[in-house]
Amino acid sequence: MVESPTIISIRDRMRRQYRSPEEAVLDPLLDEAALSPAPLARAQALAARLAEGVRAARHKAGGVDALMLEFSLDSREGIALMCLAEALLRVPDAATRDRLIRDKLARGNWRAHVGRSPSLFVNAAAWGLLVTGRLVDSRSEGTLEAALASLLRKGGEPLIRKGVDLAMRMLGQQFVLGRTIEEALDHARERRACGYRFSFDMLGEAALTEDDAQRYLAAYEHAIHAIGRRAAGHGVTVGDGISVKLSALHPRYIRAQRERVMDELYPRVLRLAELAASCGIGLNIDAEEADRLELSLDLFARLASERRLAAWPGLGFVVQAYQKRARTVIDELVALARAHGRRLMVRLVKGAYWDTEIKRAQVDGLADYPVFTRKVHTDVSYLACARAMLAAPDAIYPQFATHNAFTIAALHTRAGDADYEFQCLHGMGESVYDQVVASDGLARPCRIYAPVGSHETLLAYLVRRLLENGANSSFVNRIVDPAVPIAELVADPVARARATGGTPHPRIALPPNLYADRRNSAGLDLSDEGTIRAAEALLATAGPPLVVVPLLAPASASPGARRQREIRNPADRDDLVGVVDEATGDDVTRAVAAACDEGAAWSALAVDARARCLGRAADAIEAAAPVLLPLMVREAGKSVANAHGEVREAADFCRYYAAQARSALAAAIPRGPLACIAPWNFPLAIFVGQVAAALAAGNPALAKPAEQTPLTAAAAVALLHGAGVPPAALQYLPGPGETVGAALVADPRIAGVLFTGSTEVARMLDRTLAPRTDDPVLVAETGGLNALIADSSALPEQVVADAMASAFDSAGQRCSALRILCVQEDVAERVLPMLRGALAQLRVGDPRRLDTDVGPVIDAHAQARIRDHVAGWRERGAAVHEAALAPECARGTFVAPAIVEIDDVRAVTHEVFGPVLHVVRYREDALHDLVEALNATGYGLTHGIHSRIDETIQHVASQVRAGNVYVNRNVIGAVVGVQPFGGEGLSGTGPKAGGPLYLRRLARGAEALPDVPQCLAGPTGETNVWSLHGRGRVACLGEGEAALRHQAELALSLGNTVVLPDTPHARRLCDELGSRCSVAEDPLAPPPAAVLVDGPSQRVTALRETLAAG
Amino acid sequence: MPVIAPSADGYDPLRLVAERTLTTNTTASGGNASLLSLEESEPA
Repeated sequence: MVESPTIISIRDRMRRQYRSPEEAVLDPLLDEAALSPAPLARAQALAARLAEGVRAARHKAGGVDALMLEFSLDSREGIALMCLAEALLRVPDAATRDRLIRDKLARGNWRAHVGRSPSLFVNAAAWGLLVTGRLVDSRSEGTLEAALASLLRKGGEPLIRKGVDLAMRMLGQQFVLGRTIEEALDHARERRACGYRFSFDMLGEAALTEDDAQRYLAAYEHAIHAIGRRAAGHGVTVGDGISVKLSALHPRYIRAQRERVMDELYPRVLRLAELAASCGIGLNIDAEEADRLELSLDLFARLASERRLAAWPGLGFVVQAYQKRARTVIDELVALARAHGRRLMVRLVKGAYWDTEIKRAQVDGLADYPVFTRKVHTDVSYLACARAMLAAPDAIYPQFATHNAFTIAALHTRAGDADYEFQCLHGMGESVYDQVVASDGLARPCRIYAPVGSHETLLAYLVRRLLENGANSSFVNRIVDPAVPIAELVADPVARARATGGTPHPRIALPPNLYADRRNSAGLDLSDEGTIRAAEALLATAGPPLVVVPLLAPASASPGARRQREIRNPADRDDLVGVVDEATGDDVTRAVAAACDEGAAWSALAVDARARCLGRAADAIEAAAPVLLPLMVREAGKSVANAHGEVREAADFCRYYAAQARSALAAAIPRGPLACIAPWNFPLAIFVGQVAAALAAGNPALAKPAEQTPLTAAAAVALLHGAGVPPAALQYLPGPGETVGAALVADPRIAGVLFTGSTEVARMLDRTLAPRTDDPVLVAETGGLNALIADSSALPEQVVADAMASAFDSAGQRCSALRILCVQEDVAERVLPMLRGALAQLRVGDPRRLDTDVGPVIDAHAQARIRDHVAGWRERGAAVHEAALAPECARGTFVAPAIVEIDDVRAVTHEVFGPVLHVVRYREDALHDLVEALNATGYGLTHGIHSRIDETIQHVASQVRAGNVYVNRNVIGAVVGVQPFGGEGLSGTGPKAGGPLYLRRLARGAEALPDVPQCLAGPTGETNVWSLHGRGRVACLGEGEAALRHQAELALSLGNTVVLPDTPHARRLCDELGSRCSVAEDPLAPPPAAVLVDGPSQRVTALRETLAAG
Repeated sequence: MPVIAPSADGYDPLRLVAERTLTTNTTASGGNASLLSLEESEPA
């Protein structure tokens, strides 16, 4: 609803500032924020008085400030307390509660915290033992630890549980005004009498389902009625009001679903606004993440233009000063108010999602942050915004939400007798504001933002607030810390910001600069309107069908007749994307010859020259995104976001392997031509990843793309050639696996195969290579039966969001995709309905539409297989839930994403490569068996754990056989160089793609192994630990005692167990080497994880052939 | 299943090990402690 030319130009300016460099945004704000010397001095004197008042009052305050001072974030106890508070009350079963309490309380040094804080509340919270009767006096520290320890020892868990539970509820009470709006209104009475007013906030997570949204809507309606009944005609400024979170009102409150937001969410918020207007109370639209700002502004602008609301002065919006666009948002709100001749209530906050914004921008690889990286810059922005608000009294009723004494004083000084109010959070900062609202103080009104809701749902929210405000650098923390001099507390932020020149925080690298040895790939910001329009334009134009042919080294061009194949859009079979000439057997033979001859020049090139070439290729791939994106969308049915993910991954592969080659392969010798056989599910990323690895290690690549996706691969080859890879070093051989792939792999001149695809094909490749005596390389990446285990301490909303993304993103066509969700039975009735509700919200359709969540599956064959699988479950009586298909799905090969509820993980025996999620419930005491059953599938690619209990996480992570284990997040989207990716067992051979070992396998004489385990650098808010362990049971078949001993010792030293043929000397060896070594009649049955063998090459080859024949 | 024979340099130890990547979201409980506890005052 951007209407007037003024507003349009303001909005344009806002968009340019979205991720502008920090210095540039801050510079004009400095002058606007600055107070001249005399008022500054007055403000500082006032701030000092306020701060001293807080310090004087602190022993009776006992709020979050005291708590956070005692349990600072950098202490183990502080973190443990927060974790406990966040999770405990939602856990329904006693066993998990006890586990959680033990996990969090047993290890901390709690004694050290007792009696140190003057606040009784802090001590009570530390121990959570008030009800046990052992801690009535907070100074009785001697007995406490002993009491807790002995209770735990004697198995007095119910008592402890009850005590901690009560402490958590006390903690909740401290910061939650009431469990119901009625209770909250009752509790508000006392403070109202002191000069406070309230804005109530009905808390909870964002809605994931329509049911959730309707429930929140009903709760808001009820609350508005209740507040209205008690408002007694006070008016919107003096009376209490309500704050509304838009993401609670609709399950898809995101930019990509703008149409639904406007059609479905708007009527809901309008209804609430009309209700608030009729009750005569204020209603405020809360701020959320930065990528929702324009959406919120658009909804708000529509509300502001409603004639039925024209006479109502209570319409409010929140502006987050930490956003770089904040100052311009004020301009838009002023223009909006004036355009409609009304006055808006505007709450200015600093912003509550700062760390989330930083992490997201890093994960998404965006150019810069939407927020300032330094608090002092946010303070400056705040003062500038406030000044602009005060300058437009006709348009804005300013509501300054801050806990910072200097900010309060500066605003008080700046505002004079203007009409405005302060705001603070319930449970936080009242000790400042008691001085502000008092008639003998500043006599300025303050509105308390007061959360309302059950403690179970509130604590998660609360922990966020505690963390933000309790951080060492936060004002709330510093004001009660006697070590911080008052003068420091009241320092002028403008002067401090000028001193740093507005530069970003040195410890927060810009997203492109996350890695020391290479540039991070650039992400696509699909919340930026310019980017969205460009993407829409790219998707709207199809262009004539592409024509691609095999690309051989010039000397080997083959004149033979080639078969043609049409490539059609899987979302729309009428859309002919291109035609490919498939390579012939003759092409393959000539290509291999050229790779051996002319290709040798590439192998002779210095490592640095190869690396530079790959660096240019990375740049070229990123620059070609406008071509590659629509191509992948049409050829592979990818969503734009997924397609761009591939562009990023392809560029990352090139840069990572280039850096790896420089550091590990300086003196290494390439192996020779490698066949690179790529899958259709990552037609760009994996195709380029294989080729880039081969090339970085100095090996000519013979690239065979998947039959279904030769066009994207051809575009990638053109870019690599353009970057300087010689034609003989990279040849392109499109065609079926049965002919082109088979011919390539059977050619004895190739030095190895890099393969990603099915386990069956990998077995066939193994059989083909087995007879060779020169031990060719086979790196196979195959499928998985990937599971995610969620216990009852996990947050259901996180579990559902992560399971949905893991199972259905890319229509489940990722090797890493989640196939089995295992939910502890105690929470299944909460998690599963939410999951089904979230499934119902998916848009399944043509990915040429940006609002599509799930696109087609690759072809009719895949479609039939997946449908049969789901039908089979239905026939067996399993409960099956499916998402709806959009009408356009009839034109392509779509499958409705499905959730299948099953009884036993053992019933899932093979991978079904599509959007099908099996869900199983497990008993709390059967976790170990569950992991065993998952291991028994033989696959081992990805695995997820959602739990708040470190002990459970460690147990599962150490027991589960999976190459990539993910904790409290989704299980897809491994990042090159950060999360080396690949599985074991039936899931692949290793080494991991995008990891430190990959290139070492492709050359001889590489640098020694890097130290393990390693923490790999990546985005903030995530740790990535890469480690090595044994493969399992290694059969040693060395001839002679010395050879056998050497093999066994080597295998053992790398963490394996060893099995030897049963001979007397093997027995002696076993006795000597210990229990991890054993003998067996047939060491090859059951099949070991690896075999060490020596002797003549015929012996080795014969063994390989036998084992490959399996 | 790899059948590993010695080359001129002996056995390749890389083929006897499996790699594991453990990725932990440290912000699941609601905040990024390492970011939030960054000290503010460092100059550029």
